[in-house]
Amino acid sequence: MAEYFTVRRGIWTQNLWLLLAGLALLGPLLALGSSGFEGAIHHYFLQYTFLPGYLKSLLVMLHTALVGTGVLCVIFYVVAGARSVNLLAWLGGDLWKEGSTVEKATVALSLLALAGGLGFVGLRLGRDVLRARLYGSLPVQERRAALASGGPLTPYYDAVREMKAQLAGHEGAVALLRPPLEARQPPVPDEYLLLSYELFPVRVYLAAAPGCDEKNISREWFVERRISWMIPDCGISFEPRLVPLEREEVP
Amino acid sequence: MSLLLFCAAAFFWGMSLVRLIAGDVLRGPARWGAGWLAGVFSFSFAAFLWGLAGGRLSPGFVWALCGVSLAGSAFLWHRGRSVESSDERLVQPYTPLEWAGLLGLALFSLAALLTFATMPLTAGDSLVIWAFQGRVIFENGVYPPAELKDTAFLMAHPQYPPLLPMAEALLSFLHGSFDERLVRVIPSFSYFAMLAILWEELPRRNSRLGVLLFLVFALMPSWTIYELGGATAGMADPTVGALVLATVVILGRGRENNGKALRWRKLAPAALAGMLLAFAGLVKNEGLVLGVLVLVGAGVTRKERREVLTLAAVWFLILLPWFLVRGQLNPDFEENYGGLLSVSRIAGNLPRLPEILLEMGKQFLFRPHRAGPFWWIVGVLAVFGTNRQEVWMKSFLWIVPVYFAILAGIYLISPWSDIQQVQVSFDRLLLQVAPLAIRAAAGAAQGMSAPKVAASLSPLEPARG
Repeated sequence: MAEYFTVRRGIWTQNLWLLLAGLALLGPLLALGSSGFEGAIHHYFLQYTFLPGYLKSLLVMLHTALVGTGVLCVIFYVVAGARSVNLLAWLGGDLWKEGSTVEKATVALSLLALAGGLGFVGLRLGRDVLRARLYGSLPVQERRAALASGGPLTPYYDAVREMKAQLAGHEGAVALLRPPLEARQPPVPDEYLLLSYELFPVRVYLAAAPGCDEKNISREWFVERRISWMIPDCGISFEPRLVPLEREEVP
Repeated sequence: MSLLLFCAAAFFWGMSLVRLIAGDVLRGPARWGAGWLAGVFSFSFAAFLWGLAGGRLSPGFVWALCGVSLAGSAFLWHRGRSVESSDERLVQPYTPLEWAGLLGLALFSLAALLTFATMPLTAGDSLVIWAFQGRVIFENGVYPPAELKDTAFLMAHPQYPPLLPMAEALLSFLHGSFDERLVRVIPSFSYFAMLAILWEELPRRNSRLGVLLFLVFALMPSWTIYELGGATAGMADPTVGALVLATVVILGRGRENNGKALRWRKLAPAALAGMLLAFAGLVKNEGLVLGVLVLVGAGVTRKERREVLTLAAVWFLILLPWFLVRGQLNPDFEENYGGLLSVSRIAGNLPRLPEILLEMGKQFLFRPHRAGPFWWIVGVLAVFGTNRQEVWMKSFLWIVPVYFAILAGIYLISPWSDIQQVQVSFDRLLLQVAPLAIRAAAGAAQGMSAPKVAASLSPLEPARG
């Protein structure tokens, strides 16, 4: 080991990247604070994905972990400098010490990639532990509703639960009534598709109903599909509720 | 237990098949990976054909499939042969960086398997496309079920290719009921199959950078952080990537070994590659596009015409039944890009092209929580590597920019508004070509500096100034 820690001139400069990385982490993180960090993450990274309910605690954990990483970078910089260890040469081995310029560039980028990759693995582990503690005791189906809490699909889980209870022990399929134009506009709204998946094996069919009136749909259409229930969706917002189709209405 | 037996039967069947027809070219972990892909999707394809022939899909059918395949595996194993490699994988001692990456990968694998076993699906597409179609097949016990043909039945993409939902249905038959957690089994194992192939392939193509590049690929945040272990919203992207990778590896190895091979064995790897490439098209529509690109690449770079013809013929014959049945399925809930392809639509949407390209560029290069610096690394090696000219054509790297151009064209004519579709899908679609790209990148930097002997490679070497 002794020969490894050979004193070299310029080692402080060679490891400067680590100090800069540490300061680059610490500066913005301390300036933003935990709540500012959460806002920034939402703004830059999570605008296209729904936010599960446990995310807030996870982001607090992440902020703390990143501040810790920044501090560790500074500590490692000082320790490595004091012991004359070129960290890139130690981490990258022969590739860094004797590789071509392209290989060195690849090692440097790979270091960045693996640091990020390992960080995300850590984040995943934190998330998994947090979730297991919060939802591990719930039945599987309840876990999904809890996991989606705060997401765009959440409002439908309560409705879905009610509908399933309503449909239990009954036969027949469901017709989702919509005005004709909207009924054929791709893509079909996500909430319809989720509802159809959730209610299956009760089949859900889309019915283009002028005036949102089931009387404007042919009787054969109802009979062929054994429709016994309707979900009218003719208001401004989608509020799914089951309406039984009166028996005399079906020939 | 029955699920494990199914997976084991598929794995042994695929391994025996690969060993018999490409024993010369695939060895070790690469054979395990390709074996899993060939096995599980040939099961699924057999069930698809059985359904088309009017057969009933049931637990009895799946047990019969497992039994026949195990007997077949024993026969094929006896007939197959494995040729000892003369170019053994040359691996240098791992650096601390690589050890850290391997530890991270082990932790992720454990966490992923635990999550998959305990947590339900939450991503929209995985529920409303893959899980739903698998469940409909399971409930009906026939293929194609009437619901997929009914224009009124509410389901996303009834025309989506059948192999993944069919595999989910087969697992459900054995399980006795549909459990949406089963939906993750095949894509997750396919991710690990892809890693197995790359674990053998990358150090073989580049003894110095191979392990590092493998870890960069395996630990890409897109694979590790997201709920489905890589298929952020959908399920099939890692599977398509794995199948295309296996195809390209087999074609590449076949080229290296053709001189040594017996007459019929020269064409056998091409047939296996054609089968895997066709399976990619039967897993996701994008697999068809990538299939055509690989065929074009093989046609341009391969001198052996019979080999290219074998590849194309097997690919087409496997896809043919799907092309025939697809027309019967409900087209109303599809984007129908073919119908949207018109000069007037392209001209009308041209103003949004810069915005589309900008968003694609951002996702390609500046998404630390998705690809990280992965594409930067591929770019450095592809542009500055000493073998760059060779890998662009022979390792099919050209497919990456061409595929991006095709996707940009699709986004341009898409019925989705503005750049919404780019935002929700491009990250995932990049994963389909990422394995192919990292393989080519490893080859591009091959031999940039001579490997040192192992004795001088201790990570405890003195630091150099």
